[in-house]
Amino acid sequence: MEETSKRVLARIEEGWKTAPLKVSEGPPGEIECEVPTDGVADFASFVVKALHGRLVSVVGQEEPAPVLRYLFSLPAEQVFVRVAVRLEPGHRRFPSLTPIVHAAHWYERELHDLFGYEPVGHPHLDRLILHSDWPEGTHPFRKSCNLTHPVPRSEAGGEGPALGRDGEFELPFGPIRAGVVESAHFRFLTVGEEILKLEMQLFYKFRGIERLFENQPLVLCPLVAERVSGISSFAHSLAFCQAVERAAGIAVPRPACLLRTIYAELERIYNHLGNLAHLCEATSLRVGEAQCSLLKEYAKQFNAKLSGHRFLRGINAIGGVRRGLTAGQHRELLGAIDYIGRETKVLTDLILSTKSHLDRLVTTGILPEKLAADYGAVGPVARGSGLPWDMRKDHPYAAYGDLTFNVPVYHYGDALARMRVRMDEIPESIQLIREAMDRFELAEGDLVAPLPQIPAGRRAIGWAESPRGGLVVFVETGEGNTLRRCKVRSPSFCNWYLFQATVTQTMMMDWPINERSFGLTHAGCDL
Amino acid sequence: MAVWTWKGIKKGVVSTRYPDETLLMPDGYRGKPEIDAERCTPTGCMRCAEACLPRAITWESDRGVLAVDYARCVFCGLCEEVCPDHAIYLTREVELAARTRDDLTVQVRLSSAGPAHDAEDLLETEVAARLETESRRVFGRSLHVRHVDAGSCNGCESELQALNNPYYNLHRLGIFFTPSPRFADLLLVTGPVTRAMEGPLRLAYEAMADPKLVVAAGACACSGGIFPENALTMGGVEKILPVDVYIPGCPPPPVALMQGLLLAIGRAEPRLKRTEINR
Amino acid sequence: MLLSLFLLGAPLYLVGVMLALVLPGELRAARMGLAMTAISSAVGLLGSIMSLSEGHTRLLTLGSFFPVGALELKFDPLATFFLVMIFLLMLAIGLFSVGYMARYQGKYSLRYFPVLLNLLALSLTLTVTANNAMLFLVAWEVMALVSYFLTVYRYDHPGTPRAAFLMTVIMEMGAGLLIVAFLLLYAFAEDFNFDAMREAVPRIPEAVQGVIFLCALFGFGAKVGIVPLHIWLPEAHPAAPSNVSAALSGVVVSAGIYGIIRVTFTLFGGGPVWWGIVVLIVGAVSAVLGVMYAMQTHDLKCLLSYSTVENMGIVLMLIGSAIIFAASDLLPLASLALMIGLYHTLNHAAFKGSLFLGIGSLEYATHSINMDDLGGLAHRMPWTACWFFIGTLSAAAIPPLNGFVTEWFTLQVLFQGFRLPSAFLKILLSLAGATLALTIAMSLTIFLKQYGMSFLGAARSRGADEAREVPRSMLVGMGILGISCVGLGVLPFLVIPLIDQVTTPVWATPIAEKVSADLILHPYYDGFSAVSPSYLGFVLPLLLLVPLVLVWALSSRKIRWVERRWLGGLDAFRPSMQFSPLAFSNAIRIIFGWIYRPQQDSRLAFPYSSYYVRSTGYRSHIFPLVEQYLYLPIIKGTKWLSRGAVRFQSGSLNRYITYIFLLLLVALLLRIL
Repeated sequence: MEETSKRVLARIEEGWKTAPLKVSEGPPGEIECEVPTDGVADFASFVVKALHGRLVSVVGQEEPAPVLRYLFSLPAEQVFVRVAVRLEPGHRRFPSLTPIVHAAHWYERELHDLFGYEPVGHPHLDRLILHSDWPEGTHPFRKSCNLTHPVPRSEAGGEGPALGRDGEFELPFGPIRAGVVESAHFRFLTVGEEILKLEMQLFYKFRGIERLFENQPLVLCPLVAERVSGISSFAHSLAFCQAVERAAGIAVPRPACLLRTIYAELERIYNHLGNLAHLCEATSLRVGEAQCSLLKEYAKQFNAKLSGHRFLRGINAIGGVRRGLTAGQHRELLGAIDYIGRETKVLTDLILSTKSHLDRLVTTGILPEKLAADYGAVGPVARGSGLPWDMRKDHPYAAYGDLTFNVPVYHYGDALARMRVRMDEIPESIQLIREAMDRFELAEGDLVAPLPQIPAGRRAIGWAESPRGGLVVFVETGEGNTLRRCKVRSPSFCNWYLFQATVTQTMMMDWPINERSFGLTHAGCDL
Repeated sequence: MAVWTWKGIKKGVVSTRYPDETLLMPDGYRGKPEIDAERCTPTGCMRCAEACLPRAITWESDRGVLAVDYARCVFCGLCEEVCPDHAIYLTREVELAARTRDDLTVQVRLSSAGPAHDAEDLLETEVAARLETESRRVFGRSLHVRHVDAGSCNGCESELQALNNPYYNLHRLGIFFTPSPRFADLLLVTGPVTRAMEGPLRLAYEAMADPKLVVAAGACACSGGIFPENALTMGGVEKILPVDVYIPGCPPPPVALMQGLLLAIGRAEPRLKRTEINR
Repeated sequence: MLLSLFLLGAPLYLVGVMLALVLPGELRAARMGLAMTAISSAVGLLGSIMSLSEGHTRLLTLGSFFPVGALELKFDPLATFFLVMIFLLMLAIGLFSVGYMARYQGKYSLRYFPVLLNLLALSLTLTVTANNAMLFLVAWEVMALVSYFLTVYRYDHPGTPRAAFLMTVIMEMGAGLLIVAFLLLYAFAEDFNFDAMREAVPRIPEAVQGVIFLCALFGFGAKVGIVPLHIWLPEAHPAAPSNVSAALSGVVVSAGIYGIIRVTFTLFGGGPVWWGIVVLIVGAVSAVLGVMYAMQTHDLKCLLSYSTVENMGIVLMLIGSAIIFAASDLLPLASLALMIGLYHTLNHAAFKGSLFLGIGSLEYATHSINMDDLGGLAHRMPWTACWFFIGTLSAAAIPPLNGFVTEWFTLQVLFQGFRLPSAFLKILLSLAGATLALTIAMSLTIFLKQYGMSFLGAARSRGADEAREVPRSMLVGMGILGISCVGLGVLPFLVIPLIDQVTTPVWATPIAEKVSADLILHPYYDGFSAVSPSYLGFVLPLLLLVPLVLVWALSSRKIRWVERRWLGGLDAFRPSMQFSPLAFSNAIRIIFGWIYRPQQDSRLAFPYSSYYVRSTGYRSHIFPLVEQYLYLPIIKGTKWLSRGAVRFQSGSLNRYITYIFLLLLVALLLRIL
């Protein structure tokens, strides 16, 4: 076991005397602790409070036996702790963790909808993923649910919201909304100017993509991972490949790590530029929007030149990358990021001096630090509210451990803070790419490690910091180099609930600006 | 505010003049796969079909035909990587829009036996020609598009949003995105149509006034792509609505989307036809 | 001719009273009585219009006794004009009530109602024709008394007795001021006859004239409902049954306007400029405050009552302008202002009456007059919706209807202020014009809200969902007023010559020919501006119909009618997805928060922790400015005085005898001195 894992294990054994604990080793930097059902709330509380862990995902699984795992990240030691709970095949109940760790809120509802596991004591156990036309007792990820036949739609319609008599009314928005945007339903409870409460019904795009990973040749699985959230394809496939590599014990060659870093930062750049363009659109700063989207288009065209795809798809493979860089591409890359750096500086300076634009961002959608921390916010949303959480620093992966870079953090928690986080991350990404290019030397055969036969039952966590925040993938291998279970937790899943909280009792006019400043996707959330 | 105006003027005109000029993807871009039937192993090793996640390449052993369906292809290039004979390779062609699924198929006959193809092309061409002139007459100069996301990964939306940036500048073609289906002439659908979006998609179609067109953009919308046809995903728009134009791609780059939209209103020609290759 | 018709008409009202009391069968008796109201009104209406077109004045003496003098009725053009208004409204209300009263069968005494209504009509006719101050006051008080009984008809509704009581209190305060005014006039004229009083006016000192005028203005103003004496209107008019509200808002407040015009113009011939300034300012404030409070109420009748305050404010602005123009020697403009003031009073009676009757139909069909409960009634009650819509368009001053004609003219009159000699007056009239423009814009909003929330959209409650069209007599009643609104709008060339008969005698300036020529209207000076509601009345419907006909005829495709709403892809529509009345006016409430001082309170309910909010609760109240800042201190002061005065009521007989003695002493001293 690694040093860091040993240290954490020592602290667990020292601090936890209450209930029996079965500890098993995982890949380096991962510990699995199995606790009995009634002890899980206390143990999780211990992990959060005494070990300063953060909940990053909750995985439910049916095979080989019903089990659920809480995944905690301990950034101080750069270790992950997996808390596993076996469920009785009969009733599948477990004590809900949400009253203690609020971040578990949506995860437990997801388990309830998809697997039928019941979190006892959950304060808000309504349907989350399954809409009201799914029949009671049907859980799509249970083996007993045969998805090859259509599932009938039940007649029970959704109820209206609880409205006061004094003039409140509901303003429904979606799922088909104005403009080229993703499908989601928002229901505003309002008296005209002020939003009293926002109710969301997401998961219109629920595709059950996690099932596609199962029993699929491993070689094809990165393609599925890329299509979980199409504009952070690289980060998703990176996290997935790293999870399998850790499960199989594959060492990724150094040049491939550097290349992965470079591509990940290229993805971050074009996403942040797109977000700036969106914000300018929301405040009707037309020229700003045009210029930022033009620069984003330049970045995407450069991605195509470099990697053969505008969204950097088809690069990651398990064990490394599928293509490298020629000397000519090396030079072009340096030229391109120079250009992007210069243009970005001009645009950000202009945006920051446009009072009318900033006016609409200041104090819009304030997310208090405590709320963000309690709910496990990730990405620029967290960093705009004073939480310095970034997976590249908390759990270094690929080549990030060796490279120097800063993580910008702003404390006010409003839309301006989030925009500034993204604005500051672009030059940091450019700096990272330059440094990685400096260390990059191409040697033949250095791009991908071979894929061995992986025994079944190996479990591992993979992660990456996508432009929207940290994303975590959990895999468990099956027979013949396939996967038994793959759980992808995209950053948008964590942050959508927080969006709801920042909108309550704010003005209707600020809503689109707030939404754009969060910059979340629905595909990543809905899976 | 004047500084922004000056910045914009300094930048000048950056819009492409497509379709009056050709827009090519860069070298090395993963576009349409081509099959060189001569190089293919005589008995067919079928490694490309095994490496194809969306089952775009299939081997019909009873007829001895290797079938490629561009409507399913996600242009990942794994087929090119695993082929031992370099018989399949990806070109950089991305303008692959077509009016029928049939036009997006390639049949490679690897063995000499097999039935001859049927001659229904003539009728199809006539129907297609009439549709083209009618569409051009009604929508040729101004088209309003309502986009519906029926469960896409967001890649197609990103490319659709890029159509309105200064480089592609869709407005110069007279094509606009509109907020309500009641104002729309064309319904542009992305995504494989999830169970939850089936109802809203149908309502959007019914809310449009005649004449109306439906375009499926992206592999997921054309055929379901990597998603199987099951209780959660419907397997493509054609299972729900009549589709007029299919735009393959994963995601189709903006130039492919423009070609597809122009094809729908009769201002562009389809470049793909049902192809039969005999060895 | 009118005399004979009137002689026929008035007794018919009494016949109506008797029929209602005597006939067997409660409902039939009531219906007969109301039919009689309608018949006598029709007869009287015909006679009045014919008399007005001739322009004669006639006298009728009912008798005489000391010390009141001759009980004379004078049918001069002014009185005849108001008689037209009264008969028109009573005709419509009578017919309407025939169907409406069926709802009250078994709950309240049906015979009683036609008695009161006929007595109201009779007392109104006596009020506007009385030429003797005492007769006038008696008729005025009878009218107030009958109004009280009519308002309190639904005595078991909560708040109704209090509302009627408030109305009577303020009416009596007004009546007190009127008595002071008339007594002062009597002191100088030594005769209760109005003609004698007019002759005595030059002898009255300026200061006393001012006092008389102010007493008359606020005395009649209490009936009209000007700010700050308006607080009874929004309570009493909603409390009364809708047909009574129509009468109250339509003709009873017009009687107040009649009084102001009679005193100011017939007796005083205009008066000095400062009278006009006072009236103008009072009018402007009433108009603006009226429309602002109308914006924030959810009760349909309350909204219309505030709108009455607003419209009466406009009439007062016109009267004030008339005084100002007359005092500045611009007599044609003074006549124009007075003419439009009268025209607007008539129009207001027509559309307000129509709207109140419409609300009566709504109440009949849905049992609610709160906008939070209505919606979607246009399909269920098409004829009511049609007449109500015409009334709404008139009230919102949409061309080519009657409200548009008079509001346009009012703006023109105020804009003519540049012809005045004094800069102060020019500015004052311009400010009044700006205030009027604001008022018109806001009144459009309130009527949009009223019609939209009640008739359009989807039903917000079961009562609205189950509504059906109302009986035919009610539709006929509404129809008469609706047609009048249209007629008064597109045929002003017929109306203006009639009103000219009223205004010409005041300053001997006939203006009808310059104002209305060849179907085009001018504000006297034809170079200034022009409008033709008659042409608009022809062209606007064409603009609507011609495109529809063209589309239908030339369209090659079949038109597909779609029932389904587009909800962004949602399937289920709930009535709560529409804008609520509060939300509609929320923006105005925030912008004018400095007047409304809204107190709002939004509470989130979370049974578990603030992280899991379950529901919201929103409450909002408007701060009652006038009540809080004017009435409350007065009430407190009065109470303080009364508490002080209680000390005099010791109960001791000796003290009381001492008081009487002291009083006698004082009286004797005064007589000596």
